[in-house]
Amino acid sequence: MTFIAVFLLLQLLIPISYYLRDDPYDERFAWRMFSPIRQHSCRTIAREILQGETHAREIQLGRELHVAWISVLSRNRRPVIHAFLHHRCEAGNVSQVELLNVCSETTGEALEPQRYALRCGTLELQEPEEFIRPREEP
Amino acid sequence: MKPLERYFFGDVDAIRPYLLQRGILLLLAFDSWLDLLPHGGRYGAGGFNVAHFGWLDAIAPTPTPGLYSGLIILVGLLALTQALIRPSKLMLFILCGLFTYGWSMSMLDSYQHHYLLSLVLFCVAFFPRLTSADLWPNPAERSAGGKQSADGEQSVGLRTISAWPYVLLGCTLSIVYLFTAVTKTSPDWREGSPLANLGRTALFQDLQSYFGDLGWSADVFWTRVATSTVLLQLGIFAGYLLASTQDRTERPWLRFLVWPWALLPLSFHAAVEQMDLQIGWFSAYVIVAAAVFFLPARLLRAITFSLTWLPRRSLDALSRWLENDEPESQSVSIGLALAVALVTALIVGATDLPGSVGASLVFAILIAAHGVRLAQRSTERLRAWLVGCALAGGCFWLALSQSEARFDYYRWMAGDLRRRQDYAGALEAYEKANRYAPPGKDRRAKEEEMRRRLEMP
Repeated sequence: MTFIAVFLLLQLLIPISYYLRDDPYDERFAWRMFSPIRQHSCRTIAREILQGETHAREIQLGRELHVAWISVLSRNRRPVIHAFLHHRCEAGNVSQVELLNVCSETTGEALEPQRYALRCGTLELQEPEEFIRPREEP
Repeated sequence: MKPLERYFFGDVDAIRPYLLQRGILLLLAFDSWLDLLPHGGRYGAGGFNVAHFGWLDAIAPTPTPGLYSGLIILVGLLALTQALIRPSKLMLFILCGLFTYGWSMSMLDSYQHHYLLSLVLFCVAFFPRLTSADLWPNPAERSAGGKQSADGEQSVGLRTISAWPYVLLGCTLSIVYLFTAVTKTSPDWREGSPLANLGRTALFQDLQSYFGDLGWSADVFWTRVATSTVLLQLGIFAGYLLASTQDRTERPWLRFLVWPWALLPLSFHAAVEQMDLQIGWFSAYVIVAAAVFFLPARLLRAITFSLTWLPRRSLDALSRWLENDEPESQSVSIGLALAVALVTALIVGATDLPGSVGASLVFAILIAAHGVRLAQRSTERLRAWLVGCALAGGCFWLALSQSEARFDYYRWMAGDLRRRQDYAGALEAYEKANRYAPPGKDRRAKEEEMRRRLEMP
């Protein structure tokens, strides 16, 4: 019975942890199938500044990543975004990388753009000032 | 017995864990080969990957098409082998581990139902190791459909069994529906537009039109349907908790309550399947689970008996033929195991996919190693193991040759390489795709375009 109790307790605690986290976009293991957040429609733009330059140039994501990863980036999955930013820094001649997700809800209402940036020299990471949260009861 | 102990260790009709275990394993085998395998080409593309867990990123290699594809081929082979013979707890745990690694190695696979499937496989590994011989032991009964045999013998097949892993799986499924209901209580969902976004199909358009004639505006329709899904999923949550207990003799009236309850999960997932969502084989798994948990045991026995009649008669005939032989010596048994391992490896390895040779080698080693172990214990179990493995290898070859899996694998790989301007890699992939292209679906134009870009004749 102890094994059964522990197993069931984990099955309850793991999904509950989603509601205690500060990342509304990471819905893994929370049984949030077809959630409104999952249906946000986002356009992803990535830019980088090469060393010795001041202007940012757009990264052609389709030429760098598989389309499935671009889809994951557009869902504001922080671990993937962080990994992508570090991946670009590791190219060697980049001083700063930025990724911007411009999203809207299923109603078409625009949401606050989510901007992530990484300075390659110091590895200083900037994240959105305010993460998009599910709407609360009025 | 305390109430909780009675709940988990009370009687369950033996057909339920038997059918659920075999059904899930069969689905997993063909799901692996036909739905998961074609996506293998994207793993490690561009040298980029993020695993589901940070520690896995640290210790595991970056996935490659060969690693993922080989793993998935092996998952399918193991699943089908275990579905065809008396399952081995060790093999089922290995299967659970391999499948879990398959999705957790990369966030490319974020299907929540794959995580659920890992939990299901974990519970299934603890299931009673039943075969049809346990349910229908008398050969005459097996051919007469469970009735008294011709010479008057009464068979004593297994009717009920204590199956705490089965009840635990029911609780796990119940928890899933509880949290999906919680998700749907948010105002974002209940206002209806997310569901309207998903429900752009003929069925829902017809329903909307019907209720529109009754005076419901589109907004009202979608709001009410969205809210009703909360109640539906709470109903399914309660149903799974009750359904595990319907076979207990102390509450026979419970069956009449549970059987109609089957309409909730079955109709819900049938409607979901209408929605053209990218959810793989999720609906098939949950419909099988719902049917096994909710439907009457007699109906499940009748269906299973009918559907498996021919395979069981064939295997019974094979067993009788083999039993008439003198049991072979251990050295002959070992030789048989090695021969089956070699032939199966050749069949699997010849399917022309990255990772197929690796998977065939691992499977061959498994066949030989487990076969040698069984040769020292039981000739009957060895024969069953070898027949199961050979059939699994043959079914894999058939599944690939009769489907578009290889065409999809290579054309999707080619498309990605082309977008990333790896024209040489794309050309090679398009050539392979065209080798397996169904009539009228080839990518000859893309192949020619790659040749032009590479300035090849």
